[in-house]
Order: sequence, then structure tokens, then C-alpha cells
Amino acid sequence: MRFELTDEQRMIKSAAAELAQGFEEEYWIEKSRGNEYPREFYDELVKNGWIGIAIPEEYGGGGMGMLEMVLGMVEFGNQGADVGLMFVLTPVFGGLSVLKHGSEQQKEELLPKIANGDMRFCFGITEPDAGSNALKTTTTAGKRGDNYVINGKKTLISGIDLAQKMLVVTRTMPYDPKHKVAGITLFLVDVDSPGIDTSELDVGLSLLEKQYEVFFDDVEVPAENMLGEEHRGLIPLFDTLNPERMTGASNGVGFANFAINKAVEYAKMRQVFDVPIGSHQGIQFPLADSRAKIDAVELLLYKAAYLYDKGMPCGREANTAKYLASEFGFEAVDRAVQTMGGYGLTEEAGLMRVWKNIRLIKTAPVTNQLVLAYIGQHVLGMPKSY
Amino acid sequence: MVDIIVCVKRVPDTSEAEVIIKDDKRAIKDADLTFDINEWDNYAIEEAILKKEALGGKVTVIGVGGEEVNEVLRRCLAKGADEAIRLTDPAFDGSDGYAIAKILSAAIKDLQYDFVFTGAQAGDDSYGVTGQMLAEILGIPHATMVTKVDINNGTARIRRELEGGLEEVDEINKPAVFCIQTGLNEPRYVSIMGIRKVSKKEIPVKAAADIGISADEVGEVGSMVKLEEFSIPPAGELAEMIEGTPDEAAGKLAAILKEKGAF
Repeated sequence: MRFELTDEQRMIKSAAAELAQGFEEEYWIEKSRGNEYPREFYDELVKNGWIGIAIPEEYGGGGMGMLEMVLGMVEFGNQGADVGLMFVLTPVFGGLSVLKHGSEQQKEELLPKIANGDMRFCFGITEPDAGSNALKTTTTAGKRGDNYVINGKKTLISGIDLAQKMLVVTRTMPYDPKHKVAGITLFLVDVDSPGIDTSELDVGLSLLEKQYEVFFDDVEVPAENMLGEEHRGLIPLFDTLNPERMTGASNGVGFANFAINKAVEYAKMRQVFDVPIGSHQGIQFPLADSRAKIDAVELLLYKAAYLYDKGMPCGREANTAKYLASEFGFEAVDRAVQTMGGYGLTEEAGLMRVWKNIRLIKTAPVTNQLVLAYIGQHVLGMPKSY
Repeated sequence: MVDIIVCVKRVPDTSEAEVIIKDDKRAIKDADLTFDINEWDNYAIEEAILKKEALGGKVTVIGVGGEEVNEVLRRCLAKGADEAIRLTDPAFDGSDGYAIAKILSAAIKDLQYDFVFTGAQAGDDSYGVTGQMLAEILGIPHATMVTKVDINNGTARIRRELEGGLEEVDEINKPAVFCIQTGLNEPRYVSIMGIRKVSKKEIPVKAAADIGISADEVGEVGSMVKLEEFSIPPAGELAEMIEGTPDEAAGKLAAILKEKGAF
């Protein structure tokens, strides 16, 4: 068992830290306050190869793995850069899905554009009555000549305004209780296709990526834009779940580190009743407790990514890392806010935007309840609980 | 075409860290500090790569120190430097700026180059002498505090920053040493593609004997400056806490500033 990073991995961490430090904290606070996309930062991510990090070199990417992506993501988060959805949308739902399940033609056409920033992705899965239960998808894709025609409605779709392509989950066969897993088909759809209409959702928890309802009205998609096989779309869909969980966990670990460091710095400096507040156990121990927890989660996250890169099962590790990163991470950020007293609640203190984001990770990309259901059923071998 | 050698140093980042002096008072505790390329050198390497990209040629980066220096050298390679050399020898320990200049010059004299770039100073000891001494030892001209470099047919037209906002423009023929000031370009980030290219690249190492320098010319014995001790300046002696309501405090502050001639 080797825990030390390679020279390459150390360089990845320092490169991520340096890029993140090129953007002052004020930049993120302003973007968050103005509900404005951090385009300048994203452009640097693209320019320096981060979006294509896990795409093989023959398709114009960095030729690295999930572990390198995760190491970079954690480091971005450590510095306070909000990269969660930036990595999950295009590199994972776009890049990894096409890489693992795309035809050679799709790979040659799409992967270089993903790597060079020309093509961004959003993910059309959630519906008003189908989110975690993808089998209940009601958006349909029916065959018409050489094309498929998509009809239906998706909701809580992040960042369609930034994307050129959408990975859309559809039904190509009616739901059959006897063959539950059959009939789901994935398509790579141009977001400017005729028949697609969007409407921005007003969400209380504003994120850098805006949320949309997306309507499909007779949207024609060429058959060659299908990802994977017809009726068997659950296979590519499930394949993205572990990397997706790892990106969520990376975001959580990074932001927890960021918050803990900020709180510790503050607690050492802030004097109340003539001593630094950090000298009190009531302040110090919660932060120490969070430090211990996040250290453990970070290790588990790297193990999950390592296993994924080796092609080994990693569902247990990826799910557990996502679960603990969001629960312990949320706790850590909340404690950091508490450490700073009233100041912690100001935008200026830099924790409110992090608090919002880490709260999200308890719910998305998958709820922590379903993560526990996975662990109960697939790790512990207990009966299905839902 | 222009061949440029860039000398880089690995320094601790002490901007936000608490600096603790070791018991022997001759060093600071660095176990908890993060190290990186010296800020001035970061601009120097960027300027060299920009010149190479515009004119063709080669950038060679040189660092002195143990294996940990490889990380800094690799960063420079990842950004676009072509070759790196690490100079290391137990005899080099304790070298001051003069001894480092001797070590660098011993390595550089055998290399093909048009110009040598160094940072104007290092962020740790802030001597700001190595570049000038290096030029003296090599017997070539130099310019300090360089804020612009244009190279045309082996002649450099450079701008220097002087006191009081004054600037000077000089023309200097190759070979020459330029001590680069911060801010003359926007250093690029290390990219994934760059990391991929260099992570497995071996960096050649040269010891004192390889560059033809003897142990008594370097290290503490070969240095002009002997570091006696570090100390943290006593706090508070010149500080005056201004009491009172914000209005009163502002009034007192304004009065003091006026008295000291600030207005």
C-alpha cells in the first residue's frame, strides 16, 4: 500500500493550487453575490487542460485518470474555488460517458471538442416524477425514419445555458414491471435543436450554474446520436454514477478543508476576554473533530478513484466518500461559520457561498438516503429498503 | 533564435505563515511551510519562454539544491523550458549569494547561451545580488530591475525601473545577464499537458567536480557573508495605539500624519 503521491500527482496539486490562487477570494464572492458565472476561471480550466484531464491523449486530452481529476478538484476546493459542477457536467457526464460507451465516431467527434472547451455538457435526467428512480422516466424517444423523436419534460437541469450538448435519458419502451431495467435509452442532443425550450427555475439556493426546466416537443435526433445501445441505457447511466459521486465528494472535502483552515486562522487570531478564542476547548475541539473526519474521508476518496482507474469495483468507496464528505463537510463548514460568530454569516467572511454548496452535496447528485440504501443493500447484503 | 538560461530558486512561502526561528538562530523552521519557485524567477522564466516562442531557440533552467528543487525545475519544464540542470553537492551548503553566483557561473560558462535571466531578488533572503555577481564572474554586462525585454538580432533593448518612478532604457549586446523584476508579464499556469510532458523527464544533476569548482570556493568557506543569526524585530516599540471614538481617533491620526509630513 503506497500513500505517497507521484511527482506527477504532486505537480497536479500544485498546479491546481496556483491556478486557484490566481483568482482572489473576492472574485468568488462577487460571482456568488451577482449570480454570475465565473467564466474567466472556467476558461483557465479549459486552457490548462483540466476539463480534458481524463480524456486520452489521442483524443486531445491529458491522458490521466480519475485520481488525478479528484486530486485537482480537492485542491481547487481547498483554495475556495467552486469547481463541483464544472467537473461533473462536462468531464464526467460528457467526457467519461462518451469515452466508455460512445462509438468510435462519437469519440472522435466529441472528445477533442470536450477537451478543447468547444463543447460543454449538461445532463437531462431529472423529471418532476423521476429523479433518483430513472426507471420512471416519462420523456419518450420514438423512432421516425432514421431519427428518434423526443417528447417530454426535464427539471432541475444545471447549466443548459452554458452547454452545447445534453445527455438525455429517455424511454424507448413503455415501463414493464417484468423487465424493469429495459427500455431506457440515452441520447446526445444538441441543446439548440428545434423543439427544445427552456425556462429558468427560481431556486432559493443559488448556484453558479443556473437551473432550468427543459421541454422537448418533437425534438428530432439522428439515430447515431444514441449513446450506448437502444433500451439498455441504464448501463452507461450507472457507469457514470461512481465518478459522479467522487466529484461530489471532492467538492465536499475541498470546501471542508477551506472552511476549517479559515476557522483555525480566525480562532488563533481573534481575541475575546483577552485570549484567542481558539484556546477554548469549545472552539478548538469541534474543529479538531472535523479535521480528523475530513482527513479520513479524503483517504477514502483517493482509494475510490484509485480503484476506478484500475477498473476495479469502487461503488462502496465512492458512495461512502460522497456520503461522509457531504455530512462531515457540512458539519465542518457549519462549525467554521459558528467559530467566526456573527462575522461568519457575512459574505465577506467567505463561508456563506461554501455553506450553500456543501448543503447541496447532501442532496445532489444523489441524496444521502439513497447512498445509505446502496450501502445497506449492496455492501451489507440487506433487503432492498425502498 | 535566442538561447536563454534562467536561474531559479526554491523558496518558502512566508507571506501568510508564522515564521519560527530554529534554536541555533541560523535558520527558520520550515517543516510546515510550503515551498515554491521564487516569485521573481517565475516572471523570469515566463519572459524567457515568451522570447523563445517569439524568436525560436532554447530555454535552459538551472537550480541549486537537493532533490526537492526538481519540483521547481519540473514546473519550469512544464511551462515550456526545454532543459533543466540541478546543481547539487554537500559542499554547496551554506553558500551566500556570492558563492551561489560562483556555482552558477561554473555551470553556465560551458553552456551555449545568449542571455541569462535571474530574478531581481529572492523572496526568502532578499539579498538581490546573485545576478550581478554572476555577470561579473562571467565577465559579461548585466542590468538589474528589468521591466521590459525586447530582443532583436542579438541585441536586447531593456527597460529598467529606477527610484522615484523613473525608468531607463538601455541597449545591451549579447551575452548579458538580466535581473528580472516582477510584473513585466503574466506568468502562465502549469497545464495538464505540460505536466504530462515532463513528469517522467530525468533532470541531469551536476556536482562541484562536474562543473570544475572546488569545495573551498563554495559553501560557507567560499562565502563573503556569514549569517550570524535571525531575529524577529521586537514588536510594539514604535507602535502607538490610538484610542477614542472613531471620530476622535481619525482626528488624532490625521494630526500625527500631518506632523510627520504625510500631507
